[in-house]
Amino acid sequence: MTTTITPATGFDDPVQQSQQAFRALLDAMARPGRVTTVETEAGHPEGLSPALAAALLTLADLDTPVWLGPGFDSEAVKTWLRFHSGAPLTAKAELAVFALLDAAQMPALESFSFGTDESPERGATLLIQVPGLTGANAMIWRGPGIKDGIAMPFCGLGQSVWRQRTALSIEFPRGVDLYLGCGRDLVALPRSTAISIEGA
Amino acid sequence: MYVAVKGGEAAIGNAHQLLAEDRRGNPDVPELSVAQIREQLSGSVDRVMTEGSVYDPDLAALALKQSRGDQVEAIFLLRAYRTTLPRLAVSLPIDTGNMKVSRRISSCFKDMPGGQLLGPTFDYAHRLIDFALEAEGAAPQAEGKGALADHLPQVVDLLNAEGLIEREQPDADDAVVGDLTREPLSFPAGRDIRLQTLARADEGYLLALGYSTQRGYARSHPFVGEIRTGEVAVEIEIPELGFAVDIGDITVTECQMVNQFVGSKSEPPKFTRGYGLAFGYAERKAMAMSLVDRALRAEELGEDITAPAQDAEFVLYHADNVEASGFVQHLKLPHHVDFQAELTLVRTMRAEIAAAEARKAELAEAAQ
Amino acid sequence: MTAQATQTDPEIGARQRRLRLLARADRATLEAALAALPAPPEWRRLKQPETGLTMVRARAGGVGQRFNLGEMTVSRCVVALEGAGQSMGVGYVQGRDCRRAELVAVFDALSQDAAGAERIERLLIAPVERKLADERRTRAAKVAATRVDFFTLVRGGD
Repeated sequence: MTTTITPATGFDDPVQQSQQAFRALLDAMARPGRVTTVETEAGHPEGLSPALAAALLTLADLDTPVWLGPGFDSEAVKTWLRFHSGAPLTAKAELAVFALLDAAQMPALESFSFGTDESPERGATLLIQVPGLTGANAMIWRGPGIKDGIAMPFCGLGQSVWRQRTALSIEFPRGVDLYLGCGRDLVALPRSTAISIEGA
Repeated sequence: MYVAVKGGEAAIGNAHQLLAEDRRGNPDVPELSVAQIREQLSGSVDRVMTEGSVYDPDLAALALKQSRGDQVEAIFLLRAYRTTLPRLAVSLPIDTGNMKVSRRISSCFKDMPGGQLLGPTFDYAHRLIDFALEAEGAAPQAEGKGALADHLPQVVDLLNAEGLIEREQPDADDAVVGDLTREPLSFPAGRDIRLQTLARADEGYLLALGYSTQRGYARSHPFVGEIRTGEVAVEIEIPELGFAVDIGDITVTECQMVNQFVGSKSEPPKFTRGYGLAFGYAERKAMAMSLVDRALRAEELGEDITAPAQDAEFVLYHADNVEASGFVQHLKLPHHVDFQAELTLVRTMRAEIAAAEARKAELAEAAQ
Repeated sequence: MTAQATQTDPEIGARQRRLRLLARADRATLEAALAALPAPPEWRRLKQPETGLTMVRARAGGVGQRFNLGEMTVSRCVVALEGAGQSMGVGYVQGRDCRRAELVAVFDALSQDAAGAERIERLLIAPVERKLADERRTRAAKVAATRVDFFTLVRGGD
């Protein structure tokens, strides 16, 4: 008989847990640069940060095409995401509402939708798994939700990614929003945050 | 401008109690059950499902009970309820060619394969009140005789050997199907959005618009290609399994209207089509919908837009009875501040006119 | 009736047939079949029973451009049997009865090995199929009795 691959578990109590994770995601987005811990336990495929797993289970559904970047386009992740969220997996990055990406294998930011001037909310949200959220500070983030300015490390993302992100400021209100996740922690970088790279 | 008002909580609470008492009516009369409404007032239930845009006979029956039979109120209840539910799937397109029909007729083709099946229709009833229904009797039993084919093809396509009737073309598999419940109406609206809007539209409104096309406001010379009512299976892709599964049957009514078309610069004369589809036994609705669908194709077919039923913005923006009833009925909510402001404005304007008149009179006097 | 998405895999075809019939079984029938099993199965829920909506799609003219007709209520549940195999079962049913969805998932899971499929077929699937066929035949006969032949009378003439 057909062997059905049993997917990794998700939330045990989807209603409560997705509310808790949503709260954490909102808090993080309201305070760019502040490390937020996603307390609720989510099952997740091996290799995926629990914080980003919880974010996907909370945000992705039938109406949100998801693009899985290199490193995450495995059967295990696909089966898990399809099973728990029902989200359609798209092969076209520009159609993605959410994208799951690995810091070491980043596609160009312009591969994703920035939304339109009329509907900037259609800009994609990128969930990027990074090796760490600490390190030597290399840039200053400023903008809504940040008092004065906050010094931030590169978090394992290449300089070119940060340069692309800096250049995006002129597109505002079009753009992409980012969550950087490592383990159970994440940091949000909304498009409203301006970045100045030290020495640049 | 909107100004919040406060107060009246006790009065509102008591008004709800009074409504509940009145809804129940005379307590000496037995209370209606939801099952009774579902089984014996199915015409009402079907309309509430179609315009409420949720197929669930028990829920529609309950909404009707709660709204004391007020259909637009029941439709509103269903629309409100659906917003509390997650969307789990989108079905594959239902196959009306595979319908288990209860009724199927054509006014164009007399001898259609499979035959004309009248089904449970009011058409040949004398419309005389049947006083026998005042008494409760044994459940009537209909006579059975013969059998039906498993598959009854759409006669419009079957009997179109010469190609004189336009053929509907499927869209590309990866084309996006517009969804009003996700994106608000915008123009130009494609046929997908028009048909979804019409399917949810108020039946009386569609009936009046459809009627107007027959009376000369958008000449369309309609013929009923086929009407069929019956059960179709709903299949959905199961994300957990990776293949489609049939999860149950729903009853729908379909109308294929065939309309004369005199031709245009690029098209030879032929028959064009309008389509109507609704949940349940909803023949009047499906027919009216097909007339309006055809009228709204005026631009696509290069016809002059001269009549209300051809004006997509007018038709589609005013079709939804929940929206319409909300906007009309909001007028009875407190507008005290607005009205006071208007009163002041009118008083000021009158005072200014009076002052101007007085000045004119003074000047005239001085000139004499 | 056959699934539109034609399946060449006979196992998938068999599962589609089973799920189609289970989705049409009423709750009492499913409960009775569960009670009639020699050893009551134990299962855990991979997905909690839940009621939601399915958007029903149709095509203009029955065969043309797709459009969204309206939604319908649907309930679903996914279970895994405890013990050897831990087969997964999926239940999707029309309406708001979560218990029906869960029982369908359990019977789907129980049918994942040949012996189980055999047992569930005899106990539940085949009787449901017969009942549905009977109901359909009876209804079709009543509809067939309303078949009419319209005669066209010659108009005017001399």
